[in-house]
Amino acid sequence: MARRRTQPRFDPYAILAALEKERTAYVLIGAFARVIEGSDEITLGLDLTPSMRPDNLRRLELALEAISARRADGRAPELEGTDFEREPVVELETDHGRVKVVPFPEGTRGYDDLRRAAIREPIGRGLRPSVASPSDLARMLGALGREEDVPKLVMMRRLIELDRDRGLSIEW
Amino acid sequence: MTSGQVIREARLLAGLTQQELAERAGVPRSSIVRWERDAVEPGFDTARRLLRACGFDLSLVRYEADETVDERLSERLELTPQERLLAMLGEPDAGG
Repeated sequence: MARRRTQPRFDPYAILAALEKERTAYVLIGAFARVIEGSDEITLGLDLTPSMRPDNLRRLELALEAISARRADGRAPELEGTDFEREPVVELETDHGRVKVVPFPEGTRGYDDLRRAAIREPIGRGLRPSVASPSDLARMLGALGREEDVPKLVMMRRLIELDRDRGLSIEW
Repeated sequence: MTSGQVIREARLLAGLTQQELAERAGVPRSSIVRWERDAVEPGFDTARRLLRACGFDLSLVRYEADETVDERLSERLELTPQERLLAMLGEPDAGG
């Protein structure tokens, strides 16, 4: 019988520090990225799009291993052996909260597509993760085509408009 | 969101160049350029034709408008990325 795990407290700093320590190349996407860019949401995990270069996937595996990442069935992530066509999203639990690895988010061509407009955002504790641009975050939401995402999409659009109206870049 | 932004996004999602979209929709490329720049507003039927040429269509989705969203988002935009994150995490040193 599998032992029931206690839900860990979401600590994105610990997750991102592990990624940083292994010098992993990735772009943050999804709700966590939207929050950093100004969206009024709450999330208990983070989603990322990694560079799919084999050396980077190895570094990502090491980072995930350091925070005890495992799949729902308890298996290790084993990203290098994953067929992402069949499994487009790898959902992991770690010691510090949920992590989703999404190599090719809907509406994008993956890391190389997103990194062009991504912004390195200073979030404290010496971390400056690469975060998908607000436009790309809206693009991904739109491409998912899910009715439940409409309010989030409207929020992102409005966020972009408000920021444009302020005449300021969201980048700090 | 302007009609030009919708057309541009649909085209990019479809992976089309402006020339390719023009050919699919049977319009000059210069028109695509003007519509995407919002220099000229396409009519409803034209906009729908362009979206269909990109493999999309228009549909109605009901959602509850939130009248307070502008105020909340403006407050968020005043914060730094770090403060936004800490505010979500409920950390005591979050600004705003």
